[in-house]
Amino acid sequence: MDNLMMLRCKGMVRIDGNDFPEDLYYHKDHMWVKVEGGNVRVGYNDWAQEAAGKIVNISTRKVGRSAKAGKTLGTVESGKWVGPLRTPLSGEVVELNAEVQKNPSIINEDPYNRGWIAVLKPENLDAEIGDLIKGSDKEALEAWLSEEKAKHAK
Amino acid sequence: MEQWRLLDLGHCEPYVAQTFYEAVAEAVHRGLSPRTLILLQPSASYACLGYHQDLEKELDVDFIEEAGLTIIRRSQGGGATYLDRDQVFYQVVFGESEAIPRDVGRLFERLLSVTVEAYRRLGVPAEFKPLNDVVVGGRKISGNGAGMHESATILVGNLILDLDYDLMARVLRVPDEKFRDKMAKSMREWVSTLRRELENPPSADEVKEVYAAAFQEVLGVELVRGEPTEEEWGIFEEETRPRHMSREWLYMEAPATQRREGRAVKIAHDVKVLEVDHKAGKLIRVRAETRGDEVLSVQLRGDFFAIPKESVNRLEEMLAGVRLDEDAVRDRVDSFYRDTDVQIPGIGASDFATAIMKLRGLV
Repeated sequence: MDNLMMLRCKGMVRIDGNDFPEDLYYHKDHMWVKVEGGNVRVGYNDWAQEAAGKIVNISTRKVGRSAKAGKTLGTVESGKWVGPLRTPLSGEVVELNAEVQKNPSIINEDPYNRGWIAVLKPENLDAEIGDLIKGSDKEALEAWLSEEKAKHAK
Repeated sequence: MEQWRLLDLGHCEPYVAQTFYEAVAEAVHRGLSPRTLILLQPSASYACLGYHQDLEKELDVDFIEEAGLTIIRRSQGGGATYLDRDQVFYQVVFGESEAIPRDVGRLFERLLSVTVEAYRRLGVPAEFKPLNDVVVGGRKISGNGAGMHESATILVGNLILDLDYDLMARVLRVPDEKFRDKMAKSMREWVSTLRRELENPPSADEVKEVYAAAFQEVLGVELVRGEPTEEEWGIFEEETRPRHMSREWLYMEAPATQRREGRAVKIAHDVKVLEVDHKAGKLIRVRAETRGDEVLSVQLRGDFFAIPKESVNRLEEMLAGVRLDEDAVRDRVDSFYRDTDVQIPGIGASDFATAIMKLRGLV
């Protein structure tokens, strides 16, 4: 609940109907990242969940497994489409959202709160966080998203 | 005009038929291959599992092995199915294209409009049914799946010349033979073929030709016949085929969503055949055919007994057409108890309602 409250109080960037909370970081392959002390909580952003449609299956690396940034963290299936979830920061999976594993359409309903996917223990947070887009940098967010949309909408 | 390579692979053994396009996608991703349309027919029958499905829950592995069929887990979503030479496959692989959007919904709509056009040219009044179905008179007549391979987008689907409904029902894992009969009947009702729709069905070559022409005209692109490259065969032999043949891939652990209670087989678009158990004072086993959240028909079995015995048939009739909404289901069950004076020791109206509502978790 405190996550939810925090998001409501803090700023939200809204781009063409999709939300991008200001206090998060965004990986170009559509994962959001929330820094929580030494760990990061990650999920699928609002635009990506909407583009995918209702998510019916999710599979992820197990707790204890590691992945490099940009490599596959797991897969999601919506309707009859299967797409990758990319690891936004190199690190080890320390926790998975059991609710989302059982009922992945929570990602569609609430991508930034109840729909979180995993908590990672990053190997190199300070160096890699700079590769992500800051939610407070609205211009960079818009530039990246409009490029993504151009790819998808032709 | 945007150019696409057309690969007509003729008849292919199951691994090539079902996975060679992944090698093409890898080559497209590496910048080695152009955007490509593959057309082919499998040369042998096989069972094909959806990417996230549990092998042993979905397929009757013993039967399939005895029959000498291959099992392949595809990289695309959807459900387990049976495929054979009476189908023409189209496999669309691209990195960037001006003609096709990558957004999932629009990708399906655009490419399935090619399938619809091909069927119409063959004389079948097919229609696109959102999100990802092609139907004729409400019956499914093409199966489709999509996915990403690195930076490449893939859409695969089929044009169905003929279908062995019984074998299709036979390869799937079912609780018992009655369930299988219900499933086969449902498939006959909801899945059609060129042979069923047309007096003089076309040959596979004709179907390919018509599809290729529709692809060019609907998408406004030009197809140029080509051959698979050495790099593509190399990727296929060294990476794609070994991965698909490995036990790790075939027996991949299914996600939690696939470990739900009960059995569900998707027949076509939103039609499913389902079975759930509810343990009340006695066991209630519910078997149903559903369309979306509407119950088309239902059978109630278990170790309970009703006096008079036939009254359960009456309840089954009363439940046909009901929406899986708690109040609606409860209403029908209550009026059954009110109208029939039935006695069922160990089971009350709320038990039947709960049992029926369990279907909701599977539709």
